[in-house]
Amino acid sequence: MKRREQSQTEQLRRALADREAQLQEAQARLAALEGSTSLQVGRALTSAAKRPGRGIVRLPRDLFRLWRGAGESRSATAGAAPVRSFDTERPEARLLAGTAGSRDGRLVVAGVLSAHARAALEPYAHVVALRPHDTQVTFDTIDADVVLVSASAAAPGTVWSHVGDPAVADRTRALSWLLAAAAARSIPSVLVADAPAPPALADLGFDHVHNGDLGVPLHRFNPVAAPTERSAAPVLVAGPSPARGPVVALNATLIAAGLERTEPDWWALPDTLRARACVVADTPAIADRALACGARPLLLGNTGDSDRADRPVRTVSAGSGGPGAESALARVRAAGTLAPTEVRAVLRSLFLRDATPVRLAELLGQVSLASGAGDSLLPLRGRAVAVLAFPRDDIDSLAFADDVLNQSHLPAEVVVPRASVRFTGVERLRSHGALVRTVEGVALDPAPDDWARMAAQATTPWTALWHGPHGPNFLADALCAAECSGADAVGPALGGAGAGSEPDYVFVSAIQPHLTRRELLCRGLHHGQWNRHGARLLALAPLRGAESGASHDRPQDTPGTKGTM
Amino acid sequence: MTLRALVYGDVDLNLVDGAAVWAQSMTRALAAAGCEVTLVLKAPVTTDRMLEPFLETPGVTLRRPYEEQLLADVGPRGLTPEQAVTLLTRLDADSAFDLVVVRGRRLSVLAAHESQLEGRLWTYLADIPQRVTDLVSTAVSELTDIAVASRFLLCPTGHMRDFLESNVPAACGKSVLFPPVTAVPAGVAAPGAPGRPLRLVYAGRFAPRWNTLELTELPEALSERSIPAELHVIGDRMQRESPDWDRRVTKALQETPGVTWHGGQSRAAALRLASDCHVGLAWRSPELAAGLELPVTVPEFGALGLPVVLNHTPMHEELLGADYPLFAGDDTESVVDALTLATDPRVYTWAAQRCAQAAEAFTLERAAERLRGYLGLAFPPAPVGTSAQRPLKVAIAGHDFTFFAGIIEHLSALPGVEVRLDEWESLHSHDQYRSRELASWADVVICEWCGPNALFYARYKRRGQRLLVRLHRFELYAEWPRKLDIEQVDAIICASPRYAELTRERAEWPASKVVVVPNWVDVDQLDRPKLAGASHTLGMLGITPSRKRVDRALDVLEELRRHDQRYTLAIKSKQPWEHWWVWNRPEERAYYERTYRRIQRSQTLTDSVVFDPFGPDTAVWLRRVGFVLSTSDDESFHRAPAEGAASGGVPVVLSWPGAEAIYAPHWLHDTPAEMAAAIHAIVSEGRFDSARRVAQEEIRASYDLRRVRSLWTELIVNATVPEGGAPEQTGTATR
Repeated sequence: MKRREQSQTEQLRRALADREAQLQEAQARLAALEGSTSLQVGRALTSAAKRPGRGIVRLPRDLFRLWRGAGESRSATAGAAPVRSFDTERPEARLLAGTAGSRDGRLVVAGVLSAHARAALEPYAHVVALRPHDTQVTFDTIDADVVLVSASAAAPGTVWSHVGDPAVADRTRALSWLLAAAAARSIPSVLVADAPAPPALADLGFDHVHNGDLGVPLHRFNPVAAPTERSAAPVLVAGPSPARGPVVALNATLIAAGLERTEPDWWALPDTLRARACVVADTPAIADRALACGARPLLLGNTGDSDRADRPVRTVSAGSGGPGAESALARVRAAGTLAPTEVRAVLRSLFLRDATPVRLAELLGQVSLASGAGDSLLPLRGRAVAVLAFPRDDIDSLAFADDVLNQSHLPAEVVVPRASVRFTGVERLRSHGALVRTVEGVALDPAPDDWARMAAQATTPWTALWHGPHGPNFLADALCAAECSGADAVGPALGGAGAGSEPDYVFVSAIQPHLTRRELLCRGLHHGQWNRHGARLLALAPLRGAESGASHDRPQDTPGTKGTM
Repeated sequence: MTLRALVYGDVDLNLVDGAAVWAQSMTRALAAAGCEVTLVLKAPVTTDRMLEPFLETPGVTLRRPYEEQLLADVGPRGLTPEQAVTLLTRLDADSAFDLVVVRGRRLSVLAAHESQLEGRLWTYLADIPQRVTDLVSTAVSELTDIAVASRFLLCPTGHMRDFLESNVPAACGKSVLFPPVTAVPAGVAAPGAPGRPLRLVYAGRFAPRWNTLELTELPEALSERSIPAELHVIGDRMQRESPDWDRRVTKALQETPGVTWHGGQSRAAALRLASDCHVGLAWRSPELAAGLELPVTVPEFGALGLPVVLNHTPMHEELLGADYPLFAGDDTESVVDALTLATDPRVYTWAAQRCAQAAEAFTLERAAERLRGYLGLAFPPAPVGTSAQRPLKVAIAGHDFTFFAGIIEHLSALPGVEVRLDEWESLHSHDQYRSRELASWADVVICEWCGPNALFYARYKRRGQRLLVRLHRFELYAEWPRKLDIEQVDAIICASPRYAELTRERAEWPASKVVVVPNWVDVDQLDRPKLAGASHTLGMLGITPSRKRVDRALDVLEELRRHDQRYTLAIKSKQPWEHWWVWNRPEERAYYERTYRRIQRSQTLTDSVVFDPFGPDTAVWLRRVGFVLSTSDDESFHRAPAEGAASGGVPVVLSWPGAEAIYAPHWLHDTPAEMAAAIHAIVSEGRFDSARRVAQEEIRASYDLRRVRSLWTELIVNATVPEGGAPEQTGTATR
């Protein structure tokens, strides 16, 4: 008997899930039927017939009770079960509700994510974190654009620990269900292999497996408010993947020579990196994060990565051996912390190629999004910027057009006064496909109200205030600084010890705005008063001379912005 | 008494591969464990290189169906599974084997459907679906049939056992380990240091997923790093993937400079060849590495003293340690990295020692020892006081045997004891005729639960019969104990001294009638390696009804996460709404709604509390848990912390009344805050391993299944009351 039961249980468990809705309906009908007086009368008569002795004696009493309670029964039933106004049983009803969907146009990610992967995504996507026990009920009710799973979620310390491991098949089954359900709804699924995980994880049927991490989340890894005096002692920061092969030997050599090793918690890593002048990294990901924080990295065991050729990363090849590693470390240590121009160039490079929204856009480009879910550039929408300019004449407008068209991060829109619309430079922008908006009746010598009217015409989250040519990285640097800091406006510092004397990437009380959130500019306030209204202002001086030119030997553009002009 | 074993694998012993090695190992290990073994061959013998060891092993009989013409209409490629099962049942009918060991999924399914073999099958599982996505309902159903019909499911690795138990509930409690067995000839050993050229060795089948072509590229890749190298390849089993691939791999094996192909060899000859090399290779494609089997060459190379380059998987990490230096990734470059590292004599020695240590668990002696343990469980000796001619007749009655299954299984296996079950449909519903029949048949009646079943058997107790009633917390506060005619009962059995005392007081029964036999935990089944991070994972087994006080566990967790955000709480339980008797009570429902809302509205708890599904796979689940909490208002025993300790975790118990009689004082705490402080102290002071060792030893000494089984056997057969139970003996049963 047990054997039969066990065998059937397995088969029926699945079939029962499908029949549950039908059963509920049947139960409701049955309840209604059982509540009917007719049925109860029938039962009383049958019961009396089955037991002629005692049953016949009880029959009149039972029938009286039914007669008396018939009216009550009807009214009780009507009160207990309100009639549904809409059929919400079908799973597609989520499309009506849009529960937990994005109201701000961001990508909606159904995520099986580690805490640090979630923290990396959150400014750029609306993340609905799933847990093994609520995956089914939550996913059935949300309208997600993509299912994103980070291998780091399988690490200890999360609710998905060890998913994919044969000893944790229950959680693996939950994830497998999620992927099947997503596929059935044409929602793509992506595995981000950002940490070692059981090999079975990648085998669950993802639409795309990305071997790497989610890029550098610049809002976490940045030089903003770094200590003025960094510790000169280097530190070996271990990455999420254990060191492999010859890197193990290099690590051992350096540690034996007195190098400190640390493995900070994920939330403490940015502060650890910001506190040091130089860092030894055993993965490129840690090296990139160190650069973003302004620390000079020594990367062990990685020699041929051309993607990082423009970054000040010194590498030690696997074959260098202990002495080679020690001398490389000595050179890195002697070079000290990154110079301000290096910091600017590194951040720009990361912003344009390796920042989290860029990586997210790349990942989305590898899969087909469901109908109506937007395109793969959705994560980059937060970087869209409109350049507001007041060209006074043809010469001025040509300089403006040159400056705009040479930007490594192209603006989405250009806004000019109606009076400037016939200038050659503006025509040139149009001929390159630029979206040019015009504003009637603003002065060419703009006051705050004029800037506000211009900003009101723009549709992007950011506006750049063009006062003259600032070089091809003007927008990229300013937007990068904003992404790093979460500031409301970016520009050279005003006031203080002396105009422009403040270091870059610190919050100050007043700036000459180069980049602002559109809503801030729309308020028509004088920029000297912005901080009194709660705006967060970040100091970033413009680069001068050669610094402002392209400091890299390969083209860098924010994906998806080239071609809009 | 010598046990007789029949062994058949759906395996061609003319080919040298893992399956053939298994047949050889299983037969030899059974013989070493003291069995008379009959090995039935699948195919006509064309070479005896895999049969050599049997010719000199006493107690092994080979049956050759082709040469002996045991079956008609056999094909050229060996017996079909249907033919094999027909032959096995015929041989079994002739010789009445005590156990029948089979391997091969199709064959096992067919054997499981043969009622003649039921309960005597020892099924070795290898070719089963090894991914969650492959476990469709048909596969689960087949595996369930196999599990139910088998006495044991023999699993090659702990990972296979975990996977099976997690997905096939019937496999829980029946799955045991039978890892690959090494057979290194005496005096054969590797050089013990890397050499130039670096000689690499691979033995096994040739197939794309075995990375055969990639392996042949290694000598050249190493020479590019100025490391001269040779690859020695042993084997002749080509997996026919495609003619093109076959041609390419044959050409690569025959013509690649630095590659020597030795062809198929006997096992001993293969090991001798390997012992002349420096590094063993067991590197496979990612999808194959994700499987649940361990390549037999890993322990074999290790036993020779060779370090092995292999994939970095949880299974290999568990075997060799997370810091093993020669793990490779998915690409050939990573293998070359590992081999480069292996040329460093210090790393080489370290890795070789680690492999050799790991190989010690795979010897023939260890395999025989394991089998002796399993044979002891399946064929326990007859208890003193019983006779095979006149067995003691024991009836066991109850509506739920969940908490008594371990004892029933043991009693059923005892020679001299005949067990019949009276399975009540519910507390009140049963087959009266069956119950009356058993009441007059049995020498001893055991009522599991002191409910209507106990009232029934007390009413129909016959002279000379002994009636034992097992009472739990559930019945103590119900009306049945008051209605029970205690004069008819020989012993009331409680799980703890406190509940024995409460029972005596509440029911006003004579003290001599109330006996304590503790609950048990199966330490052998539960003792499994902890997963990484277990030291920061709290666990609760069962959170209904509300007196289990899961809210206190949340207090503990919140307190711990103030210190360290790696702490999580895993809860394995039915949900309260799955118990009608809980969910229909407004105060219970209010409690759970309050508690669950607390979890959902706290970021800390949302990120750290996980409800794992209810099921019998407790042993697997406990691998992820380091601390098992008991936060109840009241318990009679609470097996969960004991199971946690048996699994290699640490019990953390709130001092509910009576807890001190069950758990040692160092695991008891007065408040959730003290529980949290104790946990964090153990973790932060690096005492996790020592604490869990102490806990496991305590539980093994007091509540191990073997000990409690013997207490029950003595109570049932000889009416011997356990020490500290009740003062008087209750007389022996009349047969």
